[in-house]
Amino acid sequence: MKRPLLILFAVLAAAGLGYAPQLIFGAPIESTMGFVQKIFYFHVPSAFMTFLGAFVSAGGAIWYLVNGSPRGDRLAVAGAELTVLFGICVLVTGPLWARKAWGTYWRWDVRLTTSLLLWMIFLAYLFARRYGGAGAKRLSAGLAVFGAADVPLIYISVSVWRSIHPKTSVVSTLGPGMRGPFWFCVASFLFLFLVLLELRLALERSRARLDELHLAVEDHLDANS
Amino acid sequence: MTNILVVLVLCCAPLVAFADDDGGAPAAAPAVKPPSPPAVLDPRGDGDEGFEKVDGSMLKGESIPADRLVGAAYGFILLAFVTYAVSVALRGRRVEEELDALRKKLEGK
Amino acid sequence: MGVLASTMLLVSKDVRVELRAKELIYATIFFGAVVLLVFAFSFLGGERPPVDAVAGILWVTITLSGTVGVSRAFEREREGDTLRALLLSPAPRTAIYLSKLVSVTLLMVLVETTATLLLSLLFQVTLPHVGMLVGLLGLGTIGFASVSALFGASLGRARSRDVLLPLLTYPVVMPILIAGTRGTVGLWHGDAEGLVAAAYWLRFLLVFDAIFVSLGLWIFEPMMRSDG
Repeated sequence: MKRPLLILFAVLAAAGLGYAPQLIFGAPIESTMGFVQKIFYFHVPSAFMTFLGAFVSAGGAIWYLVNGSPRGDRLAVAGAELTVLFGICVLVTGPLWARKAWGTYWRWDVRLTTSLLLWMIFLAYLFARRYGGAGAKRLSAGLAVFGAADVPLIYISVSVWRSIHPKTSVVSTLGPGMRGPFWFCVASFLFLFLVLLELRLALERSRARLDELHLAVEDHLDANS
Repeated sequence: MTNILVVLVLCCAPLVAFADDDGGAPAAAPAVKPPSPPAVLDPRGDGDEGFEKVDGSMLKGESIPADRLVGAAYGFILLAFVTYAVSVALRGRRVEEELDALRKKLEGK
Repeated sequence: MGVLASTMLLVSKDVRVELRAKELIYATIFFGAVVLLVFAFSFLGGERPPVDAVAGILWVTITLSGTVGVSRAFEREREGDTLRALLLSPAPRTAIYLSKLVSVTLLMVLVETTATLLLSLLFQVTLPHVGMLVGLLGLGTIGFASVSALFGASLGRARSRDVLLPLLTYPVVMPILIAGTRGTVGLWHGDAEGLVAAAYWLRFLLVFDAIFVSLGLWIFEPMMRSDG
């Protein structure tokens, strides 16, 4: 990503997240759940970014596995980290909302359970990456592909298990005063996602340069010995 | 050849397996409506599978204020993003320091 | 040599090796029995546990035993460096993956047979609709094997491979556990609605297997390539 674009996205993300609370607390209070429903404005965009991260990671993994592209691998690991980051936001804010809305922190709700399993798959990605030994990149890439393919199956199996028919969409049932702040938050989170993705990719590019430099130093030492 | 077979299977398998379901093929989108499972799977017949409905009576006297929950949620999200950004920055700094050291080593030789 | 012929040759090699030592078969079956006993001591205090719990116990036992079996099977390959030899041989990569999938499935079938019979004895469960039960167990096993064989082969010489295998496999195969337990519960209730549910979960497992076996066939070779 070009530097001016990165700075623009960073400014938009910061401005958006800074202004969002004003919009959120100015939005009408939801009639059945009351004030606690305000968590929704950050909880759902976090969930969107969790899934976006998972598919970015899987896309990068496929690119890496098929072409051996280092850029694909960098995208895979960056996407996986963001999936874990946004996933933990979903898994913490969801139960806090549920505590008031359902009277209990956890109820095996289909979306939260799917998010939990997706989060665990990409946490396992990071473990595999760190401790997987020589073939860790390929191993974790395979897991990312399997994990992303598994998401619809997890969702279907959990929803039928819990005998819960999913609503067509939480978003389409929003009141008119709530949609604006909600989509504003989604846009802010998207800019934040892109900024964090680029920062993480930059770190991987630096690491790749470091590896090249290590090899260059070793070659230099071998040549001189 | 394997690639073609893989794509064919991935496209056709859900359609073949769920062709006669009134819920339709399991789609990738979360909005798919699965067929209703039989109520007999839950012997108590209340659809809760062993979970008791929460009626709020247990919450009397120990209710957490909503604004505290909302504050905790937003606070956690902010903390998570800041922690991650700091972690990436620190890791980046370590890599840059190593890069500088190696460059000096190469130039010095 | 074609893919199928290579697969059959590799499977017969694995079976012959295992029949000589019988280490995997005995260890995995015994482990399954021990796990069942642990559950029996944990759950059996007075009344018979509900059908849901017993079905869950069966599938957890199968999953844990499967992991032990897969882990040990690939450890043996690593000790003899036979997996690297296979990858260097002219055998098609898809045949290597399929042969591992079939070998793991065969091992797990033995474990499941023993576990199911022992379970019916310890937990006083009758086993109606054996055909559908076999279908559920078989399809669930193939799905589990498709994932665990891929990761087991890819873990190579990783230090933490014993911990990593279940860590990588279990979150991915969770839908199999859900489908398997709910389908088994439906069968053991035995009425019309239960059978409808079991049939649904059978189809679900078929879709899971189709997707993951295809994915496994596709990415096994790229995953086994060495970098640089």
